[in-house]
Amino acid sequence: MRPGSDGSIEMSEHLSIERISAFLDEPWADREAERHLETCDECRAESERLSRMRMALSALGELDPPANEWAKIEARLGAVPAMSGVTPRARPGLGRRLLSNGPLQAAAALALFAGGVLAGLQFTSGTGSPAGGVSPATGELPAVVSAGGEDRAVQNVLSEIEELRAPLRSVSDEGEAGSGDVAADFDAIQAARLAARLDGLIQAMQERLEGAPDDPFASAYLIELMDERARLAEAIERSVYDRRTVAW
Amino acid sequence: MDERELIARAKAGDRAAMGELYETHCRRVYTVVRRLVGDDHLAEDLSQEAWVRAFEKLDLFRGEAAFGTWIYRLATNVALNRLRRSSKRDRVEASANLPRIVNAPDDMVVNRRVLSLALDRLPPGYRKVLVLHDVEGWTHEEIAQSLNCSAGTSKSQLHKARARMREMIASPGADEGGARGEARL
Repeated sequence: MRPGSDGSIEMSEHLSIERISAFLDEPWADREAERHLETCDECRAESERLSRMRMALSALGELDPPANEWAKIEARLGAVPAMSGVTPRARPGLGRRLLSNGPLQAAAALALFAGGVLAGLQFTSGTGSPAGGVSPATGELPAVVSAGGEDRAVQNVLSEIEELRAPLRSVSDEGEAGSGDVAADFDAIQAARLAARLDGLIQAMQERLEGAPDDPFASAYLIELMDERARLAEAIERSVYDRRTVAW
Repeated sequence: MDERELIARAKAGDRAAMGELYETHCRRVYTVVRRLVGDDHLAEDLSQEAWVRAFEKLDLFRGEAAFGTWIYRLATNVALNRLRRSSKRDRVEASANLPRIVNAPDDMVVNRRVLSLALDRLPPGYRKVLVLHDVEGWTHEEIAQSLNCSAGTSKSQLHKARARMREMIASPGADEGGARGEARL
């Protein structure tokens, strides 16, 4: 819309589709648009078209999945060794890409263990920041449990997840793109930090689910976190294993 | 057999029980994934992924809420997560010109096929908000929480998405420019 110099809508002008769309959802919030629609046939017609489109979208029916979907799911389930807990899914080569910097591998394994323990202590005690003398390898742990209200805790967790996704994703994307060494951007210490943070988040989500079992929102994120954690642990483990194999 | 029993048996590894749970909820799961990602092949893969994850992690589900809600939410997250991963490509796509789709002559009632086609051609950033709000009925607050953005951003994206849809869906004989007042839905 191109408003007049005083901000009002001149009759020779029309409302933008976006403004009409906003008016349809919240008519009480834009009295000026309401007045314009009362006198402008063209904008009113556009409003009716948008309204029909909105109704048609809400009435779109369900779609049938492919006929063989269940057979494929069963086949994939057949390859899963366990039905519960963290089930790592193999990503061939990820370990090497993730932790190709040899001297950092042992540190990563140690840091991963330490990070997990510290994360556990952190969230059990409910303190918001690590105790003094924490190894830099473990990173700063999120204060999701002690952050205050439930909503705040969830928001913190979600922010943490988003932060964690970026480096994990970059590793994955690099791998998919077929590039070589990514250790310069994502080394073992960083992997260990991520693992520690993931552990903390997993525990925080589990605690949230204690209060609200089957909260689909928290459940879905917990599953994502566990998958990310499993992939990371597998990558670190494989890297250390590869190194031992070579040494022996 | 009620759903609670099915879930208990599925947790114990009973494939027949898993199959029954799948039969009950597969359409809803596939539909939301397909609409969010806008692609048949990707939807097929992600829908399977959601079910495999659900059965792998079924121990996390304690049976105090609806299984349908749980698997729906899980599938939505799988799809949204995939869209996040391809966000770099989304930005390129979002800047490209959108194709126009001609609606049927008697277009007072919007043709579902045309609407679905237009949805698939929307840039993913717009599509996910439009699908979640207008098709799935989520509130802006729910969308904001899921996409880690503000409710205001969700609203803004929704209105832009609807405008894009209107630009794409044209009546026969409408000018290619898609000027206001000429394109009809």
